[in-house]
Parts: sequence; C-alpha cells; structure tokens
Amino acid sequence: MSGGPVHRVAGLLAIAAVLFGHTQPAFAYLKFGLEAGGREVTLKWTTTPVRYFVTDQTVGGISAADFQAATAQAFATWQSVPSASITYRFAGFTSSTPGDDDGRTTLGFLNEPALDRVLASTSFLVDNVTGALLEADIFFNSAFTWSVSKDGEPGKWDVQSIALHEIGHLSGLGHSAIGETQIVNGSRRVLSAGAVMFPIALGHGDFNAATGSVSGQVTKNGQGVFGAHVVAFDPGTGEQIANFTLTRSGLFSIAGLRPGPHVIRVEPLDDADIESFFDSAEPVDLSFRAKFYERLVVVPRGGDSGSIQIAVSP
Amino acid sequence: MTGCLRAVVSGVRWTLATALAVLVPATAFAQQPSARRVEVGGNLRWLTGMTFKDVNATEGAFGGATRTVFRSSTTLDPAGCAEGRVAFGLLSALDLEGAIAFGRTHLTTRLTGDSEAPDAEVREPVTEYLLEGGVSAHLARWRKGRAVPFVSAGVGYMRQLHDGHTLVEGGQTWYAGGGLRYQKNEAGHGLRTAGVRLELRATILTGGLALDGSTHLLPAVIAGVFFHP
Repeated sequence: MSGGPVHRVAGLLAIAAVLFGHTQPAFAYLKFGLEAGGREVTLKWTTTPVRYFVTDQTVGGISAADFQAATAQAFATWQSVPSASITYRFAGFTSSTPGDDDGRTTLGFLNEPALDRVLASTSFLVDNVTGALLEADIFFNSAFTWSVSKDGEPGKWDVQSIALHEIGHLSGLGHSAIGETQIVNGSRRVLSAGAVMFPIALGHGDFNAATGSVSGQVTKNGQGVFGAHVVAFDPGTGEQIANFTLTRSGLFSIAGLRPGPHVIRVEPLDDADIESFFDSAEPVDLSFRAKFYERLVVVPRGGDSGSIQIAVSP
Repeated sequence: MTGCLRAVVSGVRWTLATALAVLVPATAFAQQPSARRVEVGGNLRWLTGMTFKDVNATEGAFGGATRTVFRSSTTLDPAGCAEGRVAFGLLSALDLEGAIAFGRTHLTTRLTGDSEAPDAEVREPVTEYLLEGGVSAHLARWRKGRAVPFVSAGVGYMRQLHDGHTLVEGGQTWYAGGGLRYQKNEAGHGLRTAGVRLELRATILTGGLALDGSTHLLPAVIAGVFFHP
C-alpha cells in the first residue's frame, strides 16, 4: 500500500468528530475509535512527538505568541502526566487555519457565532484504510471572549484550560456528557477537573489495576442504539462516570470505575448539544426513555463486569 | 518457642480473668463445668441489615449550578447464616470460642426522584463469610436451674463476595453480646451434655465492608445447639 492512495482516501473522509468506539474492556475509557478497512481501530497517533502548528493571527487582542504560549502550557501539562507516553512539539506558526486538510495539526481561532455553545472543538483527518491519524486541528471560537492572563480576566474564558481539554481529544480521548462544568478559579473561567481527561491518560499500571470497567450493549426493539448516554453511578460515593454507545450495535464500555457495585442508567442525549459529541451525519437515537439497568453491576478490581444487556423502550 | 507460647497464653488468661472479674465472682466457679472441656455446636445466626448513607446523583451546568438527577438509598439486606462453633474451657466459667458463619443476602439500592426514569430497585447477591474468635463468660451468679446467662466478646473477620465472585471485600469486626444457655447435664460427654444456646449480639463492621466507608453496628440473633464430645 503506497502513501498516495491512502492519503487521497483520507482527504475525502475528513471527519469532524469521532464516531465509532472500540470496546476493549478496561482500556476503552472513552478512547476514540473508528471503523477503517472493515475493522474498528483506536484513534491514536502512531508517531510522536505530535508536531503542531499555531495560526499566526492576532484575535481578540490575543497575539499568536501569547496564544502559542498558553497552549504550550497545556501541552506540557499533558506530557507530564505520569505514565503518559505521548509527546508534543511546537513546529511553528502557520497561515493555515484549523480545519484545513493540509496534513498539519493546527491550533487557532475561528469565528463561529452560530456555534453559540461551542467554545472549542477538535477535528481529525484520518486514513480510512489504515485508521491512521494524520492530522488533528483545534479551533477556539472567537465569538467568545478569551484570556491568556495567568490570573485570568473576569468574564473571559481561559485559553489554557480549554486547550487542556481539547488536547485530550487531540490525543485520542473522549468524554461523556458529564463534567463539562464551568467553574471559577480565582477570576479564571475554566472547566472543572471532571472535564479534563487525565484519568484516561493514566491507562497503564496502577490505574487499570486499581479500577475496573463495565461493558455492555443497549438495544431497542432488538436493534442496537447508537449514541445512548450510559452513566455508571457509584451508590457509595455518588461518583458518576459515563460514556456513549459508540457502535451501531449499541456497544459501550465505561472504565476507570472504583471497584464495587454500580447503578447503570441509560438516557438519550436529548438535553445536550449532540454535535458536541457526534458528527451531525451520525444517527444518534434520541427516541427512547431513560431507564435504570435492573441490577446492580459489580465492577471488579482490574477487570470488566462482563457484558450486560440493557433493553430500552421507545 | 513453646515457652513463648505458654507465656502468651498465660498473659491472655490473666488479662481476661481480670477483665471479667466483676462479672464472674470467684464463689461461682464451684458451680461451673471444669476447665479444659471442649464444646462444639451449630447455630443459626440472623444478621440484621445495614442502611448506608443516602447518596444523590448530581450534575453540574455552566454557571456553576448543580441539580439532582436522582436519589439513591442502599441497604445490605438481613441475612440468615449457618454457623459452626467451637469453645474451649479456659477456666471453669470462661470459654475461649471460635465460630465460622456463612450466609447469603442482597445489596439493594432504591432509586427515586428521577424526572426521566421511573423509580427502581436494583440488587445484587452477596455471599458473606464470618470468622470470629473471642471469649464467653458464664454468669453462674444469676443461673436459674440449668439455665445460665453468659456474656461474650471478641473480634472477627468478614469476607463478602459480590455477584458472581467478581469482587471480594473483607474487613474487621468486633462483637459483644449476651444470652442464655440451657444444658441438661454439665458432666460427662456426648449427647448427654447437649444443650441449647440463645444470644443477642452487636457486631461492629469496618473496612471495605461498608459501602459508604462508615463503621456500622449490626445486631444479630444467634440460636443453636451444642454438646461436649
């Protein structure tokens, strides 16, 4: 297989969000995946460091240099996560903008006032045959007001905090509809810790040994449900970790759970912005009723609960 | 090595004898069975359930607000256990005892207040093993005919196996209790010495046993038979 045909196919299939997840127990903690070459593959970088560019424009009073410095802090934070093997390298400024299919991973501002609930977004360019990740762009919506100040600025969103979240996506990680909560840290408007995907990065060693996962399938009238939001609730601590059914057969996997009994709740994604999680072309099923799985599911330490079947009603 | 063990046993005897001196008047010893006797028995133990702290599922929203998605209330249901017990007479009115109990129960979580999903009750089976060791003192001063009251105290270890043995949790227990034993013949061996025993016991559970991480008091009723082989 030569590089040429592969690249052309990839160019036709630039995707804006990730669509299919694999379900390898205990390791599938909201990792992105996709179907490529007739199989499901995990979306991940095959070579590191990941080289990224920053758009050379001043937007909203934030210079390209200041923007680059703030995002570099976020990259450095990810790179310093214990057990994280991925590394990143700033490759320079570019006149390209996020979303350009140019093979360059690019971070920058775009003015998208119509996306009034989207602070930032990560998109991927993927080789449809091999599943190789070729490019990932992060755009920050300049329709909002932003700050790169270390102490924050009242009413402005913190570039570094949001970049921290988006770089999790860029690294191939996803999140559920839980956790994207704004908090105010000093005067910085940032996302809560739950929205940062550090636990996912700790996918080796103690994290996997000390936690467990739940996997299963959500069906309606015997057919898989795509895009159902599945929440694992710990009745001892109140902690919730969630994921989506990420295949058309309705498969899901939730990892990083404290060992012990969990309540499993399934709900349609009807009270959130679907396009924050799925591409608009994907058939997210919203026409079913929320329900609790009829048993407590015990999460073993360092393993998976075994597949559970959850049948929802229209 | 042997000398060390003897010294330890001696120390235990002295400590227990001191601790129970108030409950076991020396004048009553003459009415008690001889020391060094062995007693075996079988019991049925009824463990009352545990109620854990109510926990709400909440979600946050932009702006820092939170809302309750649903409420949860979890209990460990009462359990009937089969139990084997062995006692060894340290003194004429003081037994060293050990027991192993086995029972099955359920962990039950009730889910309410969900605006989207109907109320539900979800469960999982739990198997419990309890290993205990302690002492019991016969209160001969208050005996009525062949019925002798007693008090007991000790420590234990409880092991809980969750659904399908997918998870094992264990924790330490302490207990204290008291009851009544009735024995037709205190002298001799075999079934001639058979008797019945009823005890009310309070067991304190700690460690991984409690879903909410708290210490729980678990009352129990123990009824059974015994004899001296």
